[in-house]
Amino acid sequence: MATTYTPLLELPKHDPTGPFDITKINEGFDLIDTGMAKAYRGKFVINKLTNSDFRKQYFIAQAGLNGLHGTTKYVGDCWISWDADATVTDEYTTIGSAIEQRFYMTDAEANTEHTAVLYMADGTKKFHVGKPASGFGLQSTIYCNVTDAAEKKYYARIGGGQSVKHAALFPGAYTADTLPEYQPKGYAAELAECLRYCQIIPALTHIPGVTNSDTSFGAKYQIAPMRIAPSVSIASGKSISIYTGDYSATTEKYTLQYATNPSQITLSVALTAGSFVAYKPGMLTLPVDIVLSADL
Amino acid sequence: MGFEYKPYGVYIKTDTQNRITSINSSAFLHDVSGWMKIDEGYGDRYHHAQGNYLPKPKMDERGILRYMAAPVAEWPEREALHRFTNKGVEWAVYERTQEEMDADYTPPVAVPDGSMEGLTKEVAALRESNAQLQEALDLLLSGEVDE
Repeated sequence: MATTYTPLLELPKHDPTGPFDITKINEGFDLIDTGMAKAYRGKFVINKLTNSDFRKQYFIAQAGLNGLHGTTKYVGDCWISWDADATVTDEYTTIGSAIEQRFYMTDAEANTEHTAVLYMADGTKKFHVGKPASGFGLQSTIYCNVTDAAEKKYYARIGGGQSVKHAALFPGAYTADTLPEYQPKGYAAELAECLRYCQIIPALTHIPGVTNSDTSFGAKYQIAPMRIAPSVSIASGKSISIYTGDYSATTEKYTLQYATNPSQITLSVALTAGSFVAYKPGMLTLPVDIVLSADL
Repeated sequence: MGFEYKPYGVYIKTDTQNRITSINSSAFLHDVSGWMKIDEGYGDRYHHAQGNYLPKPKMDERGILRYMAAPVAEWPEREALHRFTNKGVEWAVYERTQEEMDADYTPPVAVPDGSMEGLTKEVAALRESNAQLQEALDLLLSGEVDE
């Protein structure tokens, strides 16, 4: 009797009237393995890169494209850019000079094979397989290596001059046949991850607080919990405004201090000359963005 | 162009009396002229230095600066929070005493009560004293002329 095959995965079916054929059974299992890998590829794979959808409406850049977090330029959140700016379009981003994302890995993870993939604007895929602990990939495409082994900090770097649609770092070794398709995490998940590393309080936000004395005003501002207590970066040389109902002023003559914990920042303004009435509620506005950075 | 992993520097700024007015990391300072470097290294402690070097807030609730930086030789008996080298001389960060901080504080001048209630009270008090003065004046100016 001729061998028949299942309709979808074309698995060979054992002839019920014939002798027991172990070869056909093993061939069937091999086909199941490959078939299921192809059928389910990309559905349950974790992409370890954050903000890796480089299409304009999905790419998060809280400080603006090629904006600054402190003195460091970022193409967008979590992607450090050293030099030339990247340009972002609806369908892809053209990298200027190389960009880099840093992340933590345990020793066990870093010594496991990973696949780094670039999904290019023209539809092709460039991928490399290796262990982050020993470095793998190409500087001209995508490269993964250790930044600081003691800190367990690693990086993925995308080479300059490329037009990239998506990027991914998957645990496991994939081949051209089994390479997962890009799975967007969704804007909400990406934004939540990005907020752990950087947040911007926009200029002229009304920050409520209270006067402590004739020269002192304090305010607390709640933020979504960040990776660690962030550093605060405020452009200097600008006037601040404080309005307390009794007193309204825009002044450059002040000292500003800020204390942070991962979920809250405390701003304290000390005027050089006393003008407040103590223990009055008031409002503070700054003319520039407040950049909170917990970047790696 | 290559990526260079330079260590982050931790810097402080002081006023003319060596009181610390600011502390920050080189990651967030565009221009470090006028700042003093107190530490250097890789990692979060140096990258995000603001919350990692001074145990208490930089100012108290009155806005008075709490810390100072000075040569160790000038304050041998005071506990140094962090030591560093500045132009070949050993310096340290110290917490200022309560007396030193109080000496910087100017208590607020009493502000007149501008509320309607305060004004009403003041007007009533002025009317009262005015009436009393008027009565006293009348007594002084009045009198019978002896024929």
